[in-house]
Amino acid sequence: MSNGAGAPPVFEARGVSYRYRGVAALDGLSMRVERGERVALIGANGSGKSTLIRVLAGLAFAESGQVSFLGEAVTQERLRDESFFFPFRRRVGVLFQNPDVQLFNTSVFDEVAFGPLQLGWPRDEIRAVVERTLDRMGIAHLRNRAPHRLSGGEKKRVALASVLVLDPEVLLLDEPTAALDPGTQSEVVRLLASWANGPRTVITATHDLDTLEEIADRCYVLERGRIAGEGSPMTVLHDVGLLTEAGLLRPQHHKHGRDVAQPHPHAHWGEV
Amino acid sequence: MHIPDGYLSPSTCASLYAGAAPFWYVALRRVKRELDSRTIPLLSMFSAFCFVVMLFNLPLPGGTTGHAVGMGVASIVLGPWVSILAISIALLIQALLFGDGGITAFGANCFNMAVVGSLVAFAVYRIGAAGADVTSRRRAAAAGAAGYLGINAAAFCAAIEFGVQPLLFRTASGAPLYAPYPLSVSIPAMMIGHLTFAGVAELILSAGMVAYLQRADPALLRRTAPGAKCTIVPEASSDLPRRGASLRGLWLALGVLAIGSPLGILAVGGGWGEAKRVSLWRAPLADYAPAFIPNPFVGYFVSAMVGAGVVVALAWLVSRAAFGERRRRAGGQSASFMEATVRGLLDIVERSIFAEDMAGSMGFLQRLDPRVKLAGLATLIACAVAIRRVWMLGALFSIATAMAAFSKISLRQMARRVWLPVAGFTGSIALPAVFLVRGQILFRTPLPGMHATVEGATSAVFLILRAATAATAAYELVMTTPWNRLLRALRWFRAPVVLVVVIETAYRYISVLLQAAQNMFESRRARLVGRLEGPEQRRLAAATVGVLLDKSLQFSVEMHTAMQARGFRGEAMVLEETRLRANDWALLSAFLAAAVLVLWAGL
Ligand SMILES: Nc1ncnc2c1ncn2[C@@H]1O[C@H](COP(=O)(O)OP(=O)(O)O)[C@@H](O)[C@H]1O
Ligand SMILES: [Mg+2]
Repeated sequence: MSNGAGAPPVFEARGVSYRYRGVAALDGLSMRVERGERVALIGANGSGKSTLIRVLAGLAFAESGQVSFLGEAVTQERLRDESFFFPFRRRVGVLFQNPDVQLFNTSVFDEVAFGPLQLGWPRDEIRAVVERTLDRMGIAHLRNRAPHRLSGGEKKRVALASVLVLDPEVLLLDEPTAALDPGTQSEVVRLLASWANGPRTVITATHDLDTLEEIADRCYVLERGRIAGEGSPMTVLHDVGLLTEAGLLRPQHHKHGRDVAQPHPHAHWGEV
Repeated sequence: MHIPDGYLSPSTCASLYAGAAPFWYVALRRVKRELDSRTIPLLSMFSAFCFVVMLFNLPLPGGTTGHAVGMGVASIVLGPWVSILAISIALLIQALLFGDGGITAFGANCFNMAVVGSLVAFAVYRIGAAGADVTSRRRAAAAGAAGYLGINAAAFCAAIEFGVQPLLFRTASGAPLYAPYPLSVSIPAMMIGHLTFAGVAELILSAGMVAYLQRADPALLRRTAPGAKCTIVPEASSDLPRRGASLRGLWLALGVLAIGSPLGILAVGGGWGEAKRVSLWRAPLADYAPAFIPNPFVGYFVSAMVGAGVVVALAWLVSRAAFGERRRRAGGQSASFMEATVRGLLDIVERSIFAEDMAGSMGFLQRLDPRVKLAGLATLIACAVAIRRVWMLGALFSIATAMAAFSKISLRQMARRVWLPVAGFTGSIALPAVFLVRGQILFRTPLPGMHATVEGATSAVFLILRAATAATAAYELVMTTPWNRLLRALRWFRAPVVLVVVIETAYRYISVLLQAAQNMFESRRARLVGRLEGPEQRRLAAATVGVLLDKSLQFSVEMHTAMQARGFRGEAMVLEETRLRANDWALLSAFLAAAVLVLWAGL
């Protein structure tokens, strides 16, 4: 783990545990993400990726351990404080796994305007910014449509627009390409790539090994709420033992003695 | 129990709006004050849940249906005040976005189901569960009693509202202008169905849901019982209810709900008129037992009711014929309960999709600003309810029909979705009045005391024309306005922002819930060859309701999280709607002037 010139990491988790009614989802997990890094969280279904994203985003709170954002602890109390809440929400964008939960407004326009409205931007500025974002995401023609009646790819783009409209510095993406056809997948990956250059930080949860090298410089492998391994996409993709243990490969890959993990269609890994 | 337009006089409607208003006011103030960030999603979720529950028609004897409302579980989780809002919003969505339940009668429906229902239910729950552990059985039992008494109190209010109409509102010659039956008929007619089936449905719904919450999310129950002991440590309320929590207990409880009901044969399929209205009226009339009437004129009523039975039977045959085509298409002589429900759900989904397409085609109504249209059509409905001259009513009906024609709404569709159901439903209520209202004899029947009268016929014509005109206008509103535009129109009418946001969110939940329900039905049906047997159907329906609650809770929590992630702190905000243009104002004034003219000529 590098640590540039003493700047605090964007996100740091130390010994974080989280349970849903007794079921452990995160179990003493530690990780850190530096500014400008693109980090992937990979792991099988139920390994705790979504939970980790929620904990980092201050939407769920660790039972034990600590989460900090740019050196400041992210706790329920801190988030009650407006001087922390507003900048934090503005700087950290979250794309949820299921676009249906993220699209709750009656029109695409209102959907994209929701975040800025909540953060108390001036109304005229909101209109202008929303128009710009709709254009940039290529969804201006959908402006008056009901978000939940769009196609899967369109929904994803609207959800993404509703996050990017705030121009966040850190993006937390939960399976951004799951359940999309390959064409739409690569389009979303491209949109994200074009957005993410510069000093921005992107944390992507995924179980899709195919796009790993495109979306990340570094990965954490999660297994049952713990970090089972860490490294560049290349190293991780070659670590068959690690991937098999993490449930990201079919066991027979291992038995057949291949050296290199073959990314393969992953429909059978299923949906959460 | 949904009172359609045309059954209550304008003054009754106005006083019931006035009766509900202070409750809405206080409830809104409370919601704003107590707003923790989970209130809006919960409120919306319960509105959506109540809406969907009202769509689940249970088969009742006599080939009709009844439904629960959900006031029990809503007032238990949300408290009586927020529950008033939740149910009112469910009713508003039905009235405004699906044209179901009256617009002039909206105040009455809210007063009965939302206000009286919630308050009674909560009082019963509070007393019954006093001092009980959060997870105790007594709490679940108290919830059942709360639901049962709540829905019956609501039905009783509706019965009184119907029953006073003929006493207060008649033409000069004595023909009833609105609902034609006196208290001695309306009370037993309403109460029989509610004391038995709808009440039991509500009972099981409330008790079952509370039992479910005791296991899945006891924190929700603590909201209205903060002092209650809880043997399970409640978790932070932002936790998702445990995925796949055992639903078996709930399924069992809900299974009982259907066991009382006979093999499902739905009298009237879904559609514009909505079968549920049919049930609550026609079932009691058909099964009418004279012994229930504590009235000196029992003899008169006995014969009257025998006649009514005959007429209702006739009306039933007529509506059966009218709906026969739909039913045959659904693939059976008598559509099963489950098929009818699936069709109802599909119909709503399809209707909202269809409405969006219709709204896109450019016709007369499509061109109007939604605010002008909402005001104009609501005024038209109010006029249809207010005026007292049959020819004016006829004229209004023609105007409404002409507007449909100019707005590219196919009149065949209109007939199938609006007029036939109105004829079947209101017709079956109005026809007996022809024989029951005393007055100048039109023709005699061989039955003793059963003669058609001019006054009776007049009152039947009034009822049918009013209901048909109002339903036509409501259908036009729904079919020519995309619903997000309609909601925005509401904002402009100074609806509180919280309310509009909750309606939006509730609508969103509804579409998710309906989709889920539909998928569940379809996937199960696909796995079963042939028709389902009765018990199988009931289990399916019960399981569906249970899974739906689970899904909606989970969904509401996840959506709430997503809202928080974008800066939501419990406060509702919207972008202002643009101003009305000059020609919109002109049109609006024209509408209102026309209304004044109509009222002047027609009163
Ligand atoms: N709402 C929930 N209620 C109970 N358990 C949950 C809930 N969400 C996730 N879990 C559990 O927590 C663990 C981690 O889940 P999650 O973070 O969603 O994993 P992933 O996103 O990697 O698939 C799993 O065991 C899952 O069953
Ligand atoms: Mg996940």
